[in-house]
Amino acid sequence: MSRHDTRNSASIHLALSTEAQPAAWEFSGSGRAWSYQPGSGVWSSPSVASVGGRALLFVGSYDHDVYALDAATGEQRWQFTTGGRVEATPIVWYDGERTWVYVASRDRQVYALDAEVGRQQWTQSVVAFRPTLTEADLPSPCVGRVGDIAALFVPYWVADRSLPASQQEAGVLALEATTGRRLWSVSLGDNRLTAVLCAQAVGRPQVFVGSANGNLYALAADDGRILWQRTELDAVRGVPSLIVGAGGPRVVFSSKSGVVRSVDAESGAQQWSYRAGDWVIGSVVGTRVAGREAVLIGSYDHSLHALDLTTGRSLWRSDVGGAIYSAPALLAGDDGPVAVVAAWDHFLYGIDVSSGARRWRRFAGRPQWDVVGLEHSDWASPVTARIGGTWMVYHGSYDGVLRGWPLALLAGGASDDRRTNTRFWLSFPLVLVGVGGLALALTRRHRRAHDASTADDE
Amino acid sequence: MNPQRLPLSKLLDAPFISLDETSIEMGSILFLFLCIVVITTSRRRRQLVRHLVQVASLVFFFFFVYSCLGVFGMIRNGLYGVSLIGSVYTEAFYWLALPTVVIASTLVAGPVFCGWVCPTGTIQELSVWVRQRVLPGKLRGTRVQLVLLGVALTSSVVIAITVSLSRELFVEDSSLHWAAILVLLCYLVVLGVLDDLPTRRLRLFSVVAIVVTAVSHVTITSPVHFAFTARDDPSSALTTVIIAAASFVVARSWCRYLCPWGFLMGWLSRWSRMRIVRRDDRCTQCNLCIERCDVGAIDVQHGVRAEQCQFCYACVDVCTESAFEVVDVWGIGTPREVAERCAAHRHSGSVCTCARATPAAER
Repeated sequence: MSRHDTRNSASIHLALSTEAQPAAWEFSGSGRAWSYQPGSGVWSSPSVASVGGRALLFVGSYDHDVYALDAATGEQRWQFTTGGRVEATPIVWYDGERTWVYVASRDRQVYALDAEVGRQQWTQSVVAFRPTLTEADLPSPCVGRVGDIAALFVPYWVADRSLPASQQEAGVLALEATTGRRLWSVSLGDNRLTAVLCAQAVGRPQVFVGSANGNLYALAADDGRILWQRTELDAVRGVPSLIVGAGGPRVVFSSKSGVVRSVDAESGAQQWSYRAGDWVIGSVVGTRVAGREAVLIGSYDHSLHALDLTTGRSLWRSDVGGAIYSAPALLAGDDGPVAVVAAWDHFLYGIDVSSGARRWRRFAGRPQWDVVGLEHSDWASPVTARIGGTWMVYHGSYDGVLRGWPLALLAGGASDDRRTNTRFWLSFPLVLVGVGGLALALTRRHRRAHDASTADDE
Repeated sequence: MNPQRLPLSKLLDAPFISLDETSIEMGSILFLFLCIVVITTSRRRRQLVRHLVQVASLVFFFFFVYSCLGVFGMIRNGLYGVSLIGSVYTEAFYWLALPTVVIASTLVAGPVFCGWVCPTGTIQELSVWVRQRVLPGKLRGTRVQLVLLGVALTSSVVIAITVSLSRELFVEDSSLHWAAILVLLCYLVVLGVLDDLPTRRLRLFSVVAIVVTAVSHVTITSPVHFAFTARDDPSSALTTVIIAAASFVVARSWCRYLCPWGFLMGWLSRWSRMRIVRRDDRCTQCNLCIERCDVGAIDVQHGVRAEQCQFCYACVDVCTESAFEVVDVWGIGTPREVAERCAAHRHSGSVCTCARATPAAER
């Protein structure tokens, strides 16, 4: 799963005896993040898994690479270069003998790698090559089953710029997880898709995926048939969440219009809906709040909302300093569960899941260019992992740095606010002198021309 | 931001956003076409109708549609839309719809966008109207202008410092640079250091700056951007206030000196079908039109400068001698051809009727 489980907790417990005590670390990849093109993300959301007795963190990057890092120290284990940006979370799967990492790249390829050493096992293109194809949009795949076969379900969106073949095409492709063999594919219109959720709902395997034109599809994992679909007023951006509660399995998802909806996983019938004050682009996360099943959503209305899973009623809302663009990640702190979210004010926030009280916040890096333009990209959400008894929080920031923090550092340390506007204000005298000088030059030239023509007339 | 400020600022989300977020843009296109119909058919009480259209435009674009009518945003959106042609047609349509319609309407009906629809222009015009009521009489060259500019500048600096203390400023906040430049230019023009006419050429540099940042995928928010998106954008709001304050001193100073979209409209109006021209044979040199033209597009010697005219029709409506006419210039040849024809007429001594269709500046 792109967020570790069907509830999208983005959290994992790794009962490992680590050689080194997990500590704060930073990783800058190729170091070329400063050159990333505004409009695209720098890091994918990372995933963490136990591989060969070690906690490894896998992350895709703008620089076309996938990195495997020691999750405790940040030390790089291996890197693998693809032909395009890797914006999808790498998916880790253990088949009983070997641990695989699946990487979806914008070069329209899916790569299956050996998680221990990063060696390529197979690769598969989502569409046949044509020179006029653009980069593809490949959100995170998931691993499920097609009959008895372990399968990788890959959402894709590709476009062809040539006039005769001009087309945009979106769909989900099922590949055999160990060989890359195509099992089936289904076309889902021409809008971009979200990451997919593979789940065993109502006794049969299903695949859930949202689209930019507001559709949520439930597909039969066996053959890709559309079992049901719902249409929202605006784009579905976050991966749906499947939560098995008192009323049976339900899918909870959100759309950019701010509406969060719970539907029956079997029929798609609505159970409740809730409207946040502004856009919701992150995934919905299932958790428990004070003993009750609940869901958490972050919204552009600057709040994290906790809703009762059964009724959809608000349990609490917690305000932070900016619009929340990420999905929450959960961890179990000493004082109770905490949800970690990232906001446009460039801080990570730790929110007490029981009460909604803010536990801590941490500066997570400033944008390279502007904040408004950030809205056009999908940025990384934080993930958490418990390694050898220590909780770690990982976040790939838009400043080009991937960071790992021990929870104790976040909870105990003072907020590290590095805000400065010095460069911005220093640019004013330069601009004013430059433009003022130019205006003076234009005026003088105009006056000289005017004087010359007056002299000619005389 | 007040978290209770709910729901989304755009009032008609539900019925309009149904076709890949594009049907709401159809609404903006239909609105602009409706404006053009009103503009071309309105004769009686035209200035009142124009102000009603301006108010309707503010309400419609601030509260109903998602299209950005910002003078930076339309250039940036248009270029982005062009880059999407061939890959994402619906998105290309979304971004291109409004700039395309504004450009098309300029070619067909003159640069009416500036005079009838543009929210930045409307805010400046409101400022001029207030000045005329509060401080009647000509202010140019008086100390009052300098004092007003000083008050605007001091207030702006104080507000900017306050904003700066509460948030980090980025490239997107660079509309504040434009605002500072505008205050500087107004100061220098009022002091007589700069001349009005050559300073207007700076609009070209505005265009270059916005195009360069746009192709670099860097966003600089437009002066009125805060109203379109209802996002936390104090820099855009402050710039809008400064533009209004500057217009209090030099009418429509933003349109005159810095507006990049205004430059494009002026450039396009060379090929516009409709033009406002002054008939010298009817002009009594009363200068009512010059006083009434906020943007300073008319002078005694050259008549109406097409590249500065915003097609507000104020000169047409104020002239008691009907010296201004709106003429259809398509079909009579390029300005150069018309000028050559005029010269031939004068040379041969035959009656020249080209004046009816050709602005004095081009003859």
